[in-house]
Amino acid sequence: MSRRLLPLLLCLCALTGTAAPAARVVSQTVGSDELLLAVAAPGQIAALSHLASDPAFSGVAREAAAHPRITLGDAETILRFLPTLALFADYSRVELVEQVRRAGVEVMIFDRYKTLEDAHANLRRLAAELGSDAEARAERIVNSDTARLAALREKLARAKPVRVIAPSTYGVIAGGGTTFQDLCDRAAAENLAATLGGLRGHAAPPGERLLMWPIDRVVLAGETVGAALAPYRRLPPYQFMPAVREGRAAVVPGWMLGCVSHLRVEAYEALARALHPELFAE
Amino acid sequence: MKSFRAVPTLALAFVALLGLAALSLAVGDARLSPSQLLDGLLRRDEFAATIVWNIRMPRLLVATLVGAALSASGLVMQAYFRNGLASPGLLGVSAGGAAGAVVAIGCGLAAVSLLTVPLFAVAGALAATGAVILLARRGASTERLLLAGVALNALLGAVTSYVLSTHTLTYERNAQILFWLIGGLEDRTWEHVWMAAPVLPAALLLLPLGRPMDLLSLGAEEAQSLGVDVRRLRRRLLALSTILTALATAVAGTVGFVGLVVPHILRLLVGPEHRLLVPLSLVAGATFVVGCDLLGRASGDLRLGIVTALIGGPFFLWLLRRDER
Repeated sequence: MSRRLLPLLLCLCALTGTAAPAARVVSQTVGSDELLLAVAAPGQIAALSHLASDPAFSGVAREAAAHPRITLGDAETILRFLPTLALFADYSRVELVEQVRRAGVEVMIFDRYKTLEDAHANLRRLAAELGSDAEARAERIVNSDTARLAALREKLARAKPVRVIAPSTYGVIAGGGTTFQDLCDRAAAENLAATLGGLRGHAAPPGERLLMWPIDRVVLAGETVGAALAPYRRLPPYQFMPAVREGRAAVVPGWMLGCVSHLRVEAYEALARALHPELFAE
Repeated sequence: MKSFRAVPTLALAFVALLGLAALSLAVGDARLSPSQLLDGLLRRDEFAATIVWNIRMPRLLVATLVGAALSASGLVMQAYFRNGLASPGLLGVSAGGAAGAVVAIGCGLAAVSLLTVPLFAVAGALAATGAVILLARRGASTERLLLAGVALNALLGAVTSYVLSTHTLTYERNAQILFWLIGGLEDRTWEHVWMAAPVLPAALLLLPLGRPMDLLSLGAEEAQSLGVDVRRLRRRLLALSTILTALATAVAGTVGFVGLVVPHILRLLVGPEHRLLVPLSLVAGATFVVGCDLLGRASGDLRLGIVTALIGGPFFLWLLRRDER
């Protein structure tokens, strides 16, 4: 009886499009968590990274709370979710990746994530592994992002670039070739660490010279300008900067400053809104 | 009198090692049931076999080799310098290994191959070893050797600090660097086991040196008068100790206090005779590290170097206080 019904059920599933491939995916980084949640069916997500539900790092903290997370960073922790596919970044520990691969799990390593185009390529690559539903979701996201980006570009067409830096309490600032640089390029901002400081990547700021830069705003992670600026008001050399003293800051949620997925479109919009409020008045 | 305790102590350490090894294979995040564990060991279940043979077994074997290497190396250093506070890291070999690994990670070479970082660690440790042996060949006194070790440690520490201050920005890269600086055993593979395997022949070469080490502990002149070629013995001891430390550092990073704590505990138990202490330190060192690794895993993945330091630190302080008296 059941043998006779099986082909019928399979046909029905195919027709209604309800049969997602039996992929079980474990994601090991926040960036891949964001990609996975965007395109996978809930049943395809086996586990997310341990930072997935931390709003300081993750743009999908709320959605991630509904899924299991890998608490420890070793291969056994990943394998216990019986994944068929594991997502890593090129900076994931090579021993970890190798152990998971040797256990017979397909491994996908993302090694380009500096721009939105990279993020979209990663989204499509992942979706191709997860089936046609995922591919359709990925295309919808790419199209939506492209439209949002075009609208933002139009809105900022005549905006005068705001001169900014993104300080951190770790003793480094973001120069060229960073996620922050990409945010500045899309949100009509000039990253002075790159243009005046000539810094590449995250690097130590040039102490005294930093105080001579014509900074319009400092870009910080946080909820309110006051709270975000508080540590810098006691931290040299930032405490001596007019922008910090006068409270000239733009704040965006923490995860946006390090976002490597397609969600960075939200970060472009948020930073543009914070730096050019007059253009978003309506 | 205490030497009569050597055989029971060795047997006890060996039994403890076997027990802890069994526990180490049985415990893990995959939560295998006893029957699954057995199926894994007998390769009757693919998933369980992967967990047992590809993940837990290499980790256990690396822990065993690292423990034996560091403990024996510490014992040799203490005999060489005739100072109970000497440890494997004294001459900068561990710092060299850590610096090599950190440079590889900092330069983004970690992803090239599974063996890139360990090979850099070996290169760093061997460079430090080479510098130490070169000094020893030129007949440097123990005091000069110690000072050279201090200088090497500082120099290699500066290399590590430079990379840390300029190349550590992603969470994962920081975690990789921390692994080498604190020491750890997670995700060790069979390649790491083969890499650390020369610990066994090095240990075999060390076994017959127990008696000459006993004579050396009487003083260089006394040992010489009793027929020991002190210069040759010292060179061999130094070479073996540094090679053992280099191998351990290459596969597990800088694991502190093993070489200090284990030989001292053994001396308290069986006395100062090196012909007994050498085999005992190999087995007890392995037992100590396998036990510390288990403890670390049970405490929410505390890194090996943290557990050994948490146990070794207070012991070291106690030792210093006892010596003061």
